[in-house]
Amino acid sequence: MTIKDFMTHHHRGCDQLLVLTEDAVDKKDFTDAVVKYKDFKDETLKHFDIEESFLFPTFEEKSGMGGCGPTQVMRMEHEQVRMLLDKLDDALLQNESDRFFGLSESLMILLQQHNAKEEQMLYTMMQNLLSQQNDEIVERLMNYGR
Amino acid sequence: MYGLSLEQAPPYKIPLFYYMTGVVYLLLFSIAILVFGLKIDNRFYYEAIAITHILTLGFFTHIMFGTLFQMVPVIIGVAYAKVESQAKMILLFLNLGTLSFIISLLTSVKIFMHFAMLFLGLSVIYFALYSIITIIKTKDKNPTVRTFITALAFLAIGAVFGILALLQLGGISSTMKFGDLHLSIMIFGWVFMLFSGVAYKILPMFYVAREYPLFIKNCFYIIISLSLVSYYFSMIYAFDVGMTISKIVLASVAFVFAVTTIRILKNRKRARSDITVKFFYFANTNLALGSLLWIVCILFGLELDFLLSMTIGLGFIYGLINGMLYKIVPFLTWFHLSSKSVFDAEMSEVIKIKWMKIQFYIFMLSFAFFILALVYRPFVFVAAILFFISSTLLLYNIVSGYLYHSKMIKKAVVYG
Repeated sequence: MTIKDFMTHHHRGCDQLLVLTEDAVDKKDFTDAVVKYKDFKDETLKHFDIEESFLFPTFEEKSGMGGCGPTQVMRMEHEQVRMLLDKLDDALLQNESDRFFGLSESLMILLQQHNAKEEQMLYTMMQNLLSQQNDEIVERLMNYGR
Repeated sequence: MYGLSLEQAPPYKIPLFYYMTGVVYLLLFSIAILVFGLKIDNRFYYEAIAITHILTLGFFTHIMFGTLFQMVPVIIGVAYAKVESQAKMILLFLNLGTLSFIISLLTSVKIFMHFAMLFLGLSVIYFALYSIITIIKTKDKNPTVRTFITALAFLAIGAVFGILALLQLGGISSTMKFGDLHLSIMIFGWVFMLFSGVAYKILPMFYVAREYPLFIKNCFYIIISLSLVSYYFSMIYAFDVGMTISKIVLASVAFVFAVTTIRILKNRKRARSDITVKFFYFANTNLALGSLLWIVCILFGLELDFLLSMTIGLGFIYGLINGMLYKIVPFLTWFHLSSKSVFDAEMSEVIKIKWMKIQFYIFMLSFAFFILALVYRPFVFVAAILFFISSTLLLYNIVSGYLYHSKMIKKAVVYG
C-alpha cells in the first residue's frame, strides 16, 4: 500500500462515520448520534494529528519547504474543521437537529474540498518525494496512536 | 501548488454579481413570455429566439461563467490570471451583447445586431479561450479537466456558429442549419458536457456517492465530440442518415448519463434529502425524458419543439442550475467568511431552508403549467406569472446570501 492510498482510504472512512452520524440525527436518535459522532471526531482528529505531527514535518524536511507552502494551508483548514467540530458538539448537546445539519453540511463540503486538494496534489507530491521510505512510513501510519 | 487557498479564487462579490445579474434576466424572461406568449407559433419567430436567449445568455451563461470563476481554482487547482478585472470586463460585454441581441430581434434595428455580434463574440469566445489557457496549466489531466477543456472549446465553436447564424438571419436557408448546429453544440458540447464534468466531481463529494463508471468519465466527452463533428459534416454534405445517427447518439449519451446520475443519487450514502437533491432528481428525470422524446421525434419525424425545450431547457438545464445555486451560494458565503476569520457564520443561516423550499415548489407549479399550456395555450400566462414569482424568490434568496455576508463582515469589524 502507498502513503497516498492509506491516507485516501482514511478520508473515506471518516466520511462514512459522518454519514452514520447524520443518519442517526435524521432519525432523532441523539444517543446513537453522540456515539457515532465521537467515532467520527476521534478518527478525524487522529488523521489531522498524523499529518501535523508526522507526515507534514517529514515532507517539509525532505522538500526543504519548512512550515510554509501547501502544508501551511492544510493546517489552516484543519483549524477551520476543528472550530466546526466544536460547534457540532454544542448542537448535539442541545439536540438541535436543524443546526446540526447546517453545520454538518458545511463540514462535509469543507472536508471534501480539503481532501480533494490533499489527494490530488499534496499526497501525490509526498508520494513522489517519499517513495523510497514508503513501506516504513505506511507501517508507522498504521500503528499510529496504538 | 496553486489553487490551494481561497486567495487564488476571485473575491466573493464576483460570482455573486454574476448570479444576481443572471436572475434579473429570469424576470425579463417571464415578462417576455407574458407579452409574446400567444403570438409565437414556432421556434423560428424572432420573439421566440429572443426569449430563448434571455434564458440562455441572460441566465444560464451568467451563472455558468460566475461559477467557473469560483470553481476552477477549487476543483481544478489552477487560478485565473487577473481574475477580478477580467471577470468585470466579461460581465460588461456579456450584458451589452445580450441586451443588444434581444433588442435587435424585437425591434429589427440592424445596428444592435452588429453590437450583439461584437460584444457576444468578445465576451463568450474570450471567456472560453481564457478558461482553456487557465485550465490547461494543471498537471493532473483527470476526466473532469479533459471534459472541461472540451466543453470550453465547444463553447467557442458554438459561439462562432451562433454568430454565423446571426450574419445570415434574413431568410437564407442555411441560417436554420447554422442555428440548429449552434443549438446542438451549445446544449451537448457546452452545457451538457460541462455539467457532466462537474457531476463527476461533486456528486461523489457532496453526497458521499459512488464514482461515475470509468467508461462514462473517459469516453462520453469523446463520443459527444465525435457526434458533433459527424453532425457538422453530415450537414455540410447533406447526408441525412449521418445527421440522424449523430443526433440519436447524442440523445442516447444524454439518456445514459441521466439514468446513471439518478442511480448514483439514489444509492448515495448520505441518505438525508435536501432541496438540491430534489432539483437534481427533477433535472435528470427531465434529461432522460427529453432525450427519449428527441429520439422519438427524430425517428418518427415529429415536431415537438416546445415540449423538448421545456424538458431540456427549463426542466434539465434550469433545474440543475437552480439546484446548484442552493449548494454553491451558502457554501461560498460561509467559506469566504470563515477564511476572513468570521467564525460566527453558519451555512444554514445564509439562505433560509423555508424560502428555498417555497421557491422550489412554485417553480414546480410553474413548470406544470408550462406543460399544460401545450393543451390549453392561455395557461402559459399562469406559468409565466408563477415563474416570475419563483424567480423573484430566487433573487431574494441570493441577495439574502450577499447581505448575510456583508452583515457578518460589518459585525466582525465592529467587534474586532
